[in-house]
Amino acid sequence: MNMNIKLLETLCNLNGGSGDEGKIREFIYEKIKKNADEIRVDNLGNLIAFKKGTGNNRVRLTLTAHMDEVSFIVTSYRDDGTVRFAPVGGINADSVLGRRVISNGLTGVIGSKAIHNMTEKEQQKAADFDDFSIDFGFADKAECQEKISLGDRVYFEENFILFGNEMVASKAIDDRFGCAILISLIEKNFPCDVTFAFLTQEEVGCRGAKALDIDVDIAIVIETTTAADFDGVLDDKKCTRINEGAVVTFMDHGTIYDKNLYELTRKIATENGIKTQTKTLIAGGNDASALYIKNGGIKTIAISIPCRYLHTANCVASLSDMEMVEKLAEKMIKKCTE
Amino acid sequence: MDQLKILETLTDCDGVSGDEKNICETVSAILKSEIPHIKTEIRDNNLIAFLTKKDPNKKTLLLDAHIDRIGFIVTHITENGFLKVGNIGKTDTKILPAARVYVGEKRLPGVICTKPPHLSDKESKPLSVSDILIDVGLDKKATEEKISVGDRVLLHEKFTRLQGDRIAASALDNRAGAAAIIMAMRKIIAENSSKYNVVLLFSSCEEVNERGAIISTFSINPDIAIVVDVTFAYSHGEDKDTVGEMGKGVMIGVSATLDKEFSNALIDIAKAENIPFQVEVMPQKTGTNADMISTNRGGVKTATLSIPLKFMHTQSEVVSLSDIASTADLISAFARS
Repeated sequence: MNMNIKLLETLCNLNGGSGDEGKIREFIYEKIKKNADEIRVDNLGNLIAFKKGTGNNRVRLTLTAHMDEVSFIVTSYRDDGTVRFAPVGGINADSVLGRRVISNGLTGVIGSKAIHNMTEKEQQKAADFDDFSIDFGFADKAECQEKISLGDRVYFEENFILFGNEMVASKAIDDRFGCAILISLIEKNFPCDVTFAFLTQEEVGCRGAKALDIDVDIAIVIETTTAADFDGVLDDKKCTRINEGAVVTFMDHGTIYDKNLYELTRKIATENGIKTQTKTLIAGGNDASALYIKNGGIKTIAISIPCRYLHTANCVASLSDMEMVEKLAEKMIKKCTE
Repeated sequence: MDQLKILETLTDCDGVSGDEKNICETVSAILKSEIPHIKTEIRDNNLIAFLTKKDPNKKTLLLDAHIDRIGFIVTHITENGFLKVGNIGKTDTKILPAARVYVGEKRLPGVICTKPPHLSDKESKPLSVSDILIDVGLDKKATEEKISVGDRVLLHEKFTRLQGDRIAASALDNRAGAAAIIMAMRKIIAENSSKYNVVLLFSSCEEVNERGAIISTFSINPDIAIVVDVTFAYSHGEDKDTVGEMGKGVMIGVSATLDKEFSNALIDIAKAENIPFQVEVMPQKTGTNADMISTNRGGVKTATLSIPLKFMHTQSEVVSLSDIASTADLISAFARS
């Protein structure tokens, strides 16, 4: 197994939401600085590492992954010493009740009225953030105000595990997985110049990618994408499937990927015995949407792992798919130089 | 073992209703570490402990706490190796999507499936338990090798301290009650002035139909009983007038099914001993083992002592340590009264 599981675990267990990626950036900076020829942080917090190629090839290429995870933010205080909160990024209210969270190093619990005390109507009501609170254990509002400020970030508690048949469950596979792949690839030498870009604020509209100021011809986005491959879902609606390999997308809600690059990617995979799949649905979007309209149009491709339960405390993905993405990305960089 | 360690050990143990073997053994080991000569027996998933040698001149006081916890039971393994489950005890299904669960004796981790946005209905209602699938990360063959229909599924989060003296853990309903009885037992033994033959019952299946309390009370045949369980503490969304307040002390039950004089005696003792307490009025039934224990063999004078708890029947229930302590204090004060 190529995937550096320890690195993935460390990255997944760190906390860094959109606009609060500092801890992730610092960790990655320390990890990669020895392998980069130039390294800088731009005004939006993007970490940009340039690595000179070993040959004199003129193709300029970037590999990107986003550092931010979905998270929450404290919006107001409740009278019982708990706080009200809202999602930062696309977290569905369906999947947060009962979860453990952490803010400023304090553990909290997301709770609501007990089911026993709800009317029939209340029981049938869809999940709603307005009905939920985070309880850190404060006796009252004043105590809470001393330790928690409005605007404080709240994260799902660290919870990385390996389970089942080489599967991973964690709060932040999206997109610390991508970060792990970039960290691993920057250790290698490539014939062409490669810019490794660790981007901010993807979960709130690909804002890091929008700000990214680099002059390249080709962008490869390493991401996670939806898999709904469980019983009761029609085949096309499964979108992607776990253990069926790297996902190479022709189109999603943000991007129509470069046709030649898409075909080249598939071809390289086939030639090298790397398992790939496409999405069977036009859904989702990622930093590619900002990159492919940049600088007169960067030729962009996304290579993703299929991931179940995205944007929840337990994203689930397989190590075998991760390995396929890593292999394919490496081959792509080499091939693009030809 | 200190109070925190006892609570951590109890809440970490499995014991979904009907499968209380491990928790019976865990409680038994704690009791024996405290009182080496204590006589305990496990009958039909219930743990019974005789605190004092039976004195025929004394009445028998039963202290009951149920030790089963809510969860699920595997009913089917699907074509793709996912699990279908049935409910044991009522949960708010809004806690289920993407929750971490643990399956069977070996606690194989799993995640409850949640639909991505492209499949979810904007007007969606909360799930029903019969709709959920559990992802154990295995194909059908591997799942069938490791998991059997009938295995229990735990909703579980680790024991954690919150701010102040609050604890977040799974199964505090009713491992908090069990901890209160263990602490009361310590005091009763140390004080050595009990007016009663004291019998402890850690009962099974309260979350289903209170079978454990029914059959065990029959065999113990007590004169009076105190049932220790958890009750609702105020948190956002609750009706302040009808629930308890966390950290304000043990809740003494008053109900049609409880003995009024017994309730009053407990209130008087709490006042006399300066034990913080609250009164919990349950107009008809108590919804605890007390409803069943009180009608055993010609009747048992029964009282309830409840520990206020937030977020009941979720994987992260919250209690205050001081409320467990005041519950234990009141039980031991009653035993010597």
